Amino acid sequence: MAAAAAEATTDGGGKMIILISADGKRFEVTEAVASQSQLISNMIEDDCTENGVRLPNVDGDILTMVVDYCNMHAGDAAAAGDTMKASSTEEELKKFDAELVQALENPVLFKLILAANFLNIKSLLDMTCQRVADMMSGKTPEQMRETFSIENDFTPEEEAAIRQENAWAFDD
Amino acid sequence: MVVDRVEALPDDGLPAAVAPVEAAAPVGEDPMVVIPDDAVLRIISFLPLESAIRTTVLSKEWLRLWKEDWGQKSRRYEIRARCAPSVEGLLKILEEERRLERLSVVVHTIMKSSHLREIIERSADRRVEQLHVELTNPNVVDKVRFHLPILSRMIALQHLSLRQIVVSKMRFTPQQRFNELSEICFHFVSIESYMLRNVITRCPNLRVLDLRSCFDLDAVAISPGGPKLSSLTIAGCKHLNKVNVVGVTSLRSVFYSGRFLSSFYLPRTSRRSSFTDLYICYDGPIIPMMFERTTQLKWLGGFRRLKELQLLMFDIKTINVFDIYAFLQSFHFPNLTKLFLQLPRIREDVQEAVREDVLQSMSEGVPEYALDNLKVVRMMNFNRTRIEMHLVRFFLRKARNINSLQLVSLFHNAIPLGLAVQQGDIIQGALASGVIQESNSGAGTTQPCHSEVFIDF
Repeated sequence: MAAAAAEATTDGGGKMIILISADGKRFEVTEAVASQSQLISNMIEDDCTENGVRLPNVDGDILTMVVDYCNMHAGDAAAAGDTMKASSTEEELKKFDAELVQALENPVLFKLILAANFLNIKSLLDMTCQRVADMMSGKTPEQMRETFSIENDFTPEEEAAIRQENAWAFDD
Repeated sequence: MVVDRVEALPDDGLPAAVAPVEAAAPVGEDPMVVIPDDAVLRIISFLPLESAIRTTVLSKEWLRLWKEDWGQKSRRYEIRARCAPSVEGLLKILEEERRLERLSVVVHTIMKSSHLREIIERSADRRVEQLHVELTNPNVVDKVRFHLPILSRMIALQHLSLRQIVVSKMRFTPQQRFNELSEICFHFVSIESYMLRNVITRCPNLRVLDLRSCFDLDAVAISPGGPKLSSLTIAGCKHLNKVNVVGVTSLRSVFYSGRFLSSFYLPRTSRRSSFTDLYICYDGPIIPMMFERTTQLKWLGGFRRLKELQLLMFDIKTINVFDIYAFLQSFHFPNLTKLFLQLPRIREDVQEAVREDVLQSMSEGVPEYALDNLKVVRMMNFNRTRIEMHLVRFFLRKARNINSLQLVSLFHNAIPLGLAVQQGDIIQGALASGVIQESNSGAGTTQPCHSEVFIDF
């Protein structure tokens, strides 16, 4: 405990920790910001963040987005008295969130889902998964396959049999 | 009749406002391949049951996930006369189920209002997150009433979908709220405007509102302090005379199909709100209303940022082309870069005297600067009638920077277009410079953002 406290940089009471992406980029964030990730929150509790947290399956550009997201949303979770910028208004947050996911190409969106899943950030995971669901909702299987380049490995007979099973869902 | 379909009002200067993701042609990777099962399950959990079921035929991997996991927690029951399960049987099944995430009940036979209430109560006990209830027997629909307030017992409810249901006028108590409800789909639901408003104000987390063929509605209004709706669909609500969502700056997607409304207030596009898509389909002539009531159409100011516009034409007569010119003239589209004109495939065989001189003078009213950014025009079902040729000349003349005018005809024309027009016609020049491209299929031409068309024609 003592060692951890000595090493950590303090910033007006908020302890800082370092996140290190797969390609070696370093991000300094407060504990309050980082602990929106359940994974990191657990590590903080277990006192194993003092040498920086290595995230071998998150690229720097994705981690930049994740850190931005967590910084924006820190207001939700942060304790009072923090020197962090005043928490963003709900309106700003909604706008930030919408813009974050709307503009992404699918491969980047999926990487963000992977990162949110690995880091266990529920709100980010929900938002990104919701975005993918919005792209599928109301579409025919053919349109879904086209949107995501999904390879159909059924024979026509197999596919017809599955459709038959739930024919009501394939009406139009 | 002119039907306009309108898309993509990105907000300049915002990085997020680049073209909608769906617009890009084949992007992507199979989510099933690149992300773990539990994340795919989460995606599926956000889908309505029908779309979720459709994922089972995508590929073997998607089917596996359904068999191994979510198929177990989703149930659809169809209740028919003299077939198991009966309504009572269903209630018993619901009592015995342990955990059910999605429940869909389609009743083809007779049932009572009390049965509906009991289904809701059982669903509440099973912590159902998505509920779909549908009555198909027209004799029953009028007799059975659905009490919305009792839905507040379903504390886990996220998606509510009702079809062919008459909603009762039972009042809400102040405590009744739907905190988790994020999506409401009412199709052929009889609900009064004030009841709908009461429901919406009780859903702080509502994202999606989808109202189709709800004939009792006369107004859809959401106040600025209401839920942060991101998607609104209104179609076929034929008694509607007012839509006011001007305060809902969270809206990203709006789909309206129905008669022309003079009271239609959308949020202004600004830095705070930018649509990713907007679909407006009027199924009636717009000219008379437009000239009488332009002052009430201020919301159309949002069209300044419009980049893509699709006009669907149900008929190709002088009056329809008038509609188009009136539309282009009244609302300037300085950022419009792509215009899609869908002409009717099947046409009435009425020989109408084409008043080219009148068309010509009408077309002069469209200011050239309004089309300065127009680069691509595509006309589907191009049939070389005089009116269509007139439109081609109009675009060649007015859109000074056009670089692609795609004419897609379903027939093979024996005579090249160049020979079908007179020497010195502007069309000949455009053919020579390659601006006009003729083809017999839409493939390879520029595709509009949305390719589904809600109205059959």
